[in-house]
Amino acid sequence: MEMIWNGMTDGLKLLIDGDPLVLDAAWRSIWVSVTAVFIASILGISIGTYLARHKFRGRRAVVIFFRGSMGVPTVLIGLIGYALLSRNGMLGDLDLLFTSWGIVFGECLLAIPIIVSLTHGSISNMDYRISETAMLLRVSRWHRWMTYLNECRLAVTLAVLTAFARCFTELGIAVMVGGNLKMKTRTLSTSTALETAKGDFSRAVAMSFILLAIAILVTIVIGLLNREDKD
Amino acid sequence: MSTMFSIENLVVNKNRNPICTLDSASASVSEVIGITGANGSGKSTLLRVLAGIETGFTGNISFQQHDVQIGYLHQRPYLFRGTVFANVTYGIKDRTIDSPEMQRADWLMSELGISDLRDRICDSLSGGEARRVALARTLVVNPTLILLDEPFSDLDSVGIDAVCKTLATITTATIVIVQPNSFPAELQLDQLIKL
Amino acid sequence: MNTSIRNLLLLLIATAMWCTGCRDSAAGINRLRVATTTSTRDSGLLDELIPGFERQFNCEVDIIAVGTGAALAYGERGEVDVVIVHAPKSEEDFVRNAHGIEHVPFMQNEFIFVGPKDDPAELSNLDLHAALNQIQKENIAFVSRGDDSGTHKRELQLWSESAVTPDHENYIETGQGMGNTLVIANQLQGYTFTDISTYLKFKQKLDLHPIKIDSQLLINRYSLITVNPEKTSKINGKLASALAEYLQQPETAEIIQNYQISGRRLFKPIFLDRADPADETDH
Repeated sequence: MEMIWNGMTDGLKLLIDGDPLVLDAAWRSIWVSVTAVFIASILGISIGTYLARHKFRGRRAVVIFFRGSMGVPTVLIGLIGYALLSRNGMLGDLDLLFTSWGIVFGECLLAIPIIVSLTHGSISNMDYRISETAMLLRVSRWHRWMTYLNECRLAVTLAVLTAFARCFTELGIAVMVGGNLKMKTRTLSTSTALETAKGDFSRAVAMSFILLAIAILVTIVIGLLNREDKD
Repeated sequence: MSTMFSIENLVVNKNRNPICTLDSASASVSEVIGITGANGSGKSTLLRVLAGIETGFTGNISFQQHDVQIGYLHQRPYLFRGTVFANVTYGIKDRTIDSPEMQRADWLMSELGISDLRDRICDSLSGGEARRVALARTLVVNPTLILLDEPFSDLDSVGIDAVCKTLATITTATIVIVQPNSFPAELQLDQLIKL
Repeated sequence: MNTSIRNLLLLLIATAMWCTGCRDSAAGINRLRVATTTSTRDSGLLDELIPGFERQFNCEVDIIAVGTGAALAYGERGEVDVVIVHAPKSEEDFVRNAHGIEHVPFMQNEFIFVGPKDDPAELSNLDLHAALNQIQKENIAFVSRGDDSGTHKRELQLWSESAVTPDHENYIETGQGMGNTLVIANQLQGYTFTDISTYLKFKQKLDLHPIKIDSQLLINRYSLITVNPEKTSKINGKLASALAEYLQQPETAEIIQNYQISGRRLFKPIFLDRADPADETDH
C-alpha cells in the first residue's frame, strides 16, 4: 500500500513540477489517441452504417470479420503495423516507423473494428420506423444516415469512447511501431513499462496513475457532453 | 376520375400464415377511402403494402401514376430526436425561410393546433400532440397518396376536428385511412373497405 | 451557405492546428537510427554522448532499445543504420555475414559477482573456476536471470568455461530482468551475477556487495557496428560512419570516462590517449 501511496504523491509532484518526460508522454498519449480515434471514427462509422443498411453477398462475412478483429491483441496489431511500416514493408516509403503518425496508423487498426462493429450493431437494431419514415419522406441519403446516427448517437458515442479508451491505454502498438524513443514516441503506457523494467517503481506507479486519471477525466467529460443535450 | 391504384388477389404471408387477403380494390385520385375490420384482419398490413414497405405478398398492385409521392403515418408514429419544428420540417428540401414548403409547415402546425409546441423537444409531448406532429410531418411534403394508420387515436374531439378539417383541404391527393372501429362523423368517405 | 463554408473553414483550421501538436521531427531532418540494448540505454550514457553528436552534425538520432538479439535482427533487416551491442561472438557473426561494415569497439566495463556482506561462502579472491566450483559443491544460494539475456548468456558461458554445472538445489533462475533478480538475491542473501550499472542503480535498496573475482571472461565490451548500406537505399550510411568516427574521438572518450552513477565511474573508453592507471581497479 505504501508503494501505491508513494506513487500517487510522486506522480502529483512530477506533474506539478512539470517534469518534461511526464508531460511529453502525457501529451503524446492524448494526441495520438485523439487523432487515431478521429480518423477511425470517420472511416468506422461510415463503414458500419453502410454495412447495416446495404445488403450484399458476403456481408455476413464482413461483419464477422470486424467483430472478430476486435479481439486481436495489441501486440499482434503492433507487429502487423511494424511489418507494414518497416523499411522493407509495403508502406515503408511513408517513413512512418518510429514516429507519432506511425502509432496513429497502428491505433487506427485497433479502433476501426471496434467502431465498425458497434455502429453496425446499433444501426441494424434500430427501430424499423426510423428508416421507414426517413425513406418515405424521400430525404437524401446523407440526411438519412445523419438521422440514423443521431437516433443511435448514444451507442455511437459509446463506440468512439470505447475505442478511445483502448487506444489511450494500449501498449503493444506504441512500443512496436513507435519504438519508445525518448521525448519522441513515448506514451504514458510505454513510459510506465519502461520505468518498471528499469526498477523505478515509484515513477511507474506515478505514470500509471496519471494515465488512469486522464482516462477517467476524458470519460467523464464526454459523458457530461452526452447528457447535456438530452435536455 | 382517373385511377390511383388497383389491387387484385392480394395475399400477404408472414411465416406461412396469411395475415391479409383482399380479392380486389381500387381507388381513384382524390378519393377518401376507409379501411376497417377486426383486430388482426390485416388493415395495417394492407396500408404498409400500399406504402411499399411490406414486400412479402402475392397478387397484383398497380399504380397508374409514375413515382407517386407517398405520405405514410405509422400506427405508432416515431418522432426523431429534436424539436417539433425539426420533425415537421424534416422532409422539406428547400429550407429558406419563405419557401412554399416552409410556409406550408407553419400553416399545418397552426391548423393542427401545435404551433405553440414548435420548440418543444418531442420526448415531452403527449400522445395526441405527438400524433399531430407526425401527421404534420407527413403532410408537409404534399404527398399524392396519403396513408394514415389510426390517425385519430389519442386525440380529443378538438383534435379530431382539426385533423378532419385539415384533410378536407387536401383535394388532389388520394387518402386512405385505417380505423379499428368507427370513423369520425366529419370525415366524408368515398369508399369503405372491410377486411 | 455562408455558415456552411465558415464551419468548414473552422474545421480545416482546427485540424491544421491539431496536427502541429504532433511533435514528430520535420520531414527534411537528417536522421540516424540506432539499435542498442536496454541496459545500454538504461545506463544513461547515450544521453550524455548523443546530443553533442546531434549538434555537430545537425541531425537527430533515434535510439531504439531492445534485447541484443532484436538489435542485431534490426541491423540484419536494414531497419536501423547502426547497432551498439556488447556481445562479441554475435558481433563477429554479424560482420562476417556482411550485415555490418565498420566494427568499432569503443568502451568496456566488467560484470561482477555480488553477495552478502561478509561473504560467508568465502569466494573473495578466488579465481573463477574455484569460485564456481565452491558454489556448486557447497550448494550455495546463487540467483541467475535465466532469461536468455546477454547477461544470462555470459553467466552460462562462465559456468561452461569452468567446466562446472550449476545443478545444485540452491541455484535459482528467476526468468526476470536484472533489477528483479538482484532484489530476489537480496531477499535470499545469496550470490548473483550482474552488470555493474544495474547494481549501482539498485545499490541503495540492497544489502549485497561486490565479490572480488578476477577473470578476463568478466569483461563486457561495447561495440558500434555500422549496418551494411547495401541492404536498402534507406540506410543513412554517411551519418552512421560519422557516428563511428565520433566515438573514436578523444573528447568523446573523456565523456565516457567521466560518466558516473552514484559517484562510481561506469565505463572505460578504449580510445583514451593516456590510460590512467587509477581507473583500472574500481571495485
